[in-house]
Amino acid sequence: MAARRVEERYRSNAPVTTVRPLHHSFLPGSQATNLAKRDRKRNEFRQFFMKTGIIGQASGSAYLEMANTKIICGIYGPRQIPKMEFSEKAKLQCDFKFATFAESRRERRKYTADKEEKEFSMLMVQALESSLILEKYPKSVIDCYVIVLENDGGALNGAITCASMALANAGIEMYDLVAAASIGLNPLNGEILLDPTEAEEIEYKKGGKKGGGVVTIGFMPGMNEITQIWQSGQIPQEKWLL
Amino acid sequence: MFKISESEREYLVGGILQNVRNDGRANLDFRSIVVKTGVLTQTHGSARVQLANTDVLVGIKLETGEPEAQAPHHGRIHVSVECCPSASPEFEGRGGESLNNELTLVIERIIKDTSSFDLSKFSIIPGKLVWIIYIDAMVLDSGGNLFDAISLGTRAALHNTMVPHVDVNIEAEEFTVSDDPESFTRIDVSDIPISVTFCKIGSGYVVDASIEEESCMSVRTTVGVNKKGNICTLQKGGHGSIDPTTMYQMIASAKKIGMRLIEGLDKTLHTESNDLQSKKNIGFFIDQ
Amino acid sequence: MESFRKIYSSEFHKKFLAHNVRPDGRSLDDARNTKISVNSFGSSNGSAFVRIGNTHGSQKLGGGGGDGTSVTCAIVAEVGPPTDATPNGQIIVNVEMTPICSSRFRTGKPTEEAQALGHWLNELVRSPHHLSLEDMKVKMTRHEAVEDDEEEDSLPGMVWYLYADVYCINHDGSIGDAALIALFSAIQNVRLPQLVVTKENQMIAMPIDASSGRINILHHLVPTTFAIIDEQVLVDPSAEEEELSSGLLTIVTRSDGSLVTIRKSGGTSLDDEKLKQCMKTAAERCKTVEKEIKSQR
Repeated sequence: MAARRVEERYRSNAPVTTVRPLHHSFLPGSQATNLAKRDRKRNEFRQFFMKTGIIGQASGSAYLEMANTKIICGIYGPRQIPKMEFSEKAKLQCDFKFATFAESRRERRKYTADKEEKEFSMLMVQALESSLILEKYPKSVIDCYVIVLENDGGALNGAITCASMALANAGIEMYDLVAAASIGLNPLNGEILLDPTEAEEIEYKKGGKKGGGVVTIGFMPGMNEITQIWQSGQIPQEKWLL
Repeated sequence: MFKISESEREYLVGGILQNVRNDGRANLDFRSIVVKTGVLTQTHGSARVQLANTDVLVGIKLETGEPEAQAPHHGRIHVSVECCPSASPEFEGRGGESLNNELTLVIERIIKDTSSFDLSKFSIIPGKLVWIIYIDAMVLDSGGNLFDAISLGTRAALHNTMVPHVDVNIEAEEFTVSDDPESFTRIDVSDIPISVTFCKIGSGYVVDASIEEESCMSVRTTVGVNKKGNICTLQKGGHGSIDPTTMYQMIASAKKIGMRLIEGLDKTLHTESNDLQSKKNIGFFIDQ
Repeated sequence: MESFRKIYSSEFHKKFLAHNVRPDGRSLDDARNTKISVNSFGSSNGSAFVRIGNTHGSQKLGGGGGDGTSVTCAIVAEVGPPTDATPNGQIIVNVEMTPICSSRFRTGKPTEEAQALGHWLNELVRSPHHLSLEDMKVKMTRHEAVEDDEEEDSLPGMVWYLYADVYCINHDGSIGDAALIALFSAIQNVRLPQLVVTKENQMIAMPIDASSGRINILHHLVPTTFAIIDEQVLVDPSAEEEELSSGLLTIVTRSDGSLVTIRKSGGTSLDDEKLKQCMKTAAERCKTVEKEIKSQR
């Protein structure tokens, strides 16, 4: 509660407490229809749009769109920050943030980072750090800012891919690009599906008899190394060995 | 930050290649685990887990409250993990904050999964009143492998939890929480997973790493496993990368180790709850 | 050349300004192109993305500015009881100058610049002369038809509170212009859904259809920012020019040609003649930008 008050002090607020009406997919009895909506094959990605160099002020930037998911990333650095401890290699700092309006199926996000966003920031650092040659930039910091303007599933994997592109756009030396993707396990029929949407993610995480969940993997294709793996929900071990 | 010297590190890495660790364990051996339940009298359920130096205390507190708008028929869970700054200098300041956050979210993800924990049983008046379960874990001392200790502690504490009986008058929308210590129900914990954490050190990997081993790991993988051997959560930590084959091996061994751990834990909890009636503990710091 | 520009920024610009031209090729009273795209974010009730300058989206390597300002604004509608001060609900504007848009910003509490801009936008948008919130009553029905008529009446009268969040994506000067244009374009495209209330008193927003409410905009507001560098006045300055200027002037005009507000910062004075000239330029720009906003409905 205290955190909420600090954030409110610097921002305009409504005079009363307000609630956001729920998305229409919360109408009773719509789980089956939510899952049946998929209009592409199970191993098919949504349409991509990628572009680098869209933020003129930043040293590197990228924009990624996966159907409705829209992610923007800006890199500032390598730069020095005052009062920093001496270090032989650069420090990568990621800041992951959902825009307040990014998701339609939950209440508005706060302006300051919540638990999930802090975790995603950390997961991003772990995913990207091993791809960069940080020893080339001693005494400096590379700042990586990500804003998810709209989340329709795959925010974390999109952010990792987008940030890796932006880092390359900034000319930061790296071993390999990190590409990330997510898969979901459908709880109703045990099918594995590529690149789930937000509605699918929510239903998969609810789970069922056959498990159900979402896995995000960050991968360096040239090096054949996994840089990040993250699972939410339940997946039988046999599925892992497919 | 806990640091060891370069030669110590080499010795440790060399040992792991030979499947022998500093304390004599093989790479996939756990240390002996001490679990005690019902250690805090003011909570609805509690447990203390010791893994060599690692010492974790988990308390469960129940309160009544309104459900979340998205899930009107389900109880709510709040998880909070806190590392005592007195236990280790790395728990202080921002480093401690991000560690607390990471631990909290891993535990939350393990518990909140619907197939492991049926929250619909915690609804009192549908759409109006539910139980809110507060899970508070405190790390008293750190000797490595906090993830597994906390997840074991959480499962044990939930097993120990006594949910008071509630009398509901649906018409008048009134309710009274029974204060009779004899009238309560237990929580079914059989599907709640525990975590098994691997650390990749050099080219090998170990389970249940000590603090020395953690200081030279490149990748940490936390795998949640339930009684059936399903993989319930997966999270990579640390700053290195890992090749897919090792990943699969880790998941396969996690399943084996995890199922064995749950079996052992269940047996202990069973005997503990049978003993509970006859034994009363005073002062949880005193071991028997 | 680039290093001369970075190190002797002031000299670099003065060499251009002496010939009444700016480094990006514009003359002093030439505003950059404005491009608006609306409803890009399906997760909100109405949204707009505004880009001033570099509307072709061409790339520039190495960074350092001169790339055009981009701002996005999205509106989320929430429901709450009316108060005496807000009988028809309210629009609440917040400006986020995230660290992504310029190296000047850091994460944490909003800068004074962002707070001041947010306050200014709130004032403009809450004035009853430009927007009418009369139609903002929430339309609610029960999910399952109830026989009792009394039950139907028990639904409380609620109003909409619209949270408009302006995110600055790229800060290349005249951010206030972009923010206000984005805000009005977003408000113009807000669709307010019908609500149904379930047995558990959940409020559920129905999909948008023809009957969904809109907000009535009486007048579009179009701002134009000027930078004062020495004795010269530059229309629609870039970030570099703003940095060099001794004062900024923002004139907001309305679609019918009347003046809404003037905001001036910095200590320098501006004579009558120049101010009149500025107002004329602002009125002209208002027409082109308004056409662009209205075409995006």
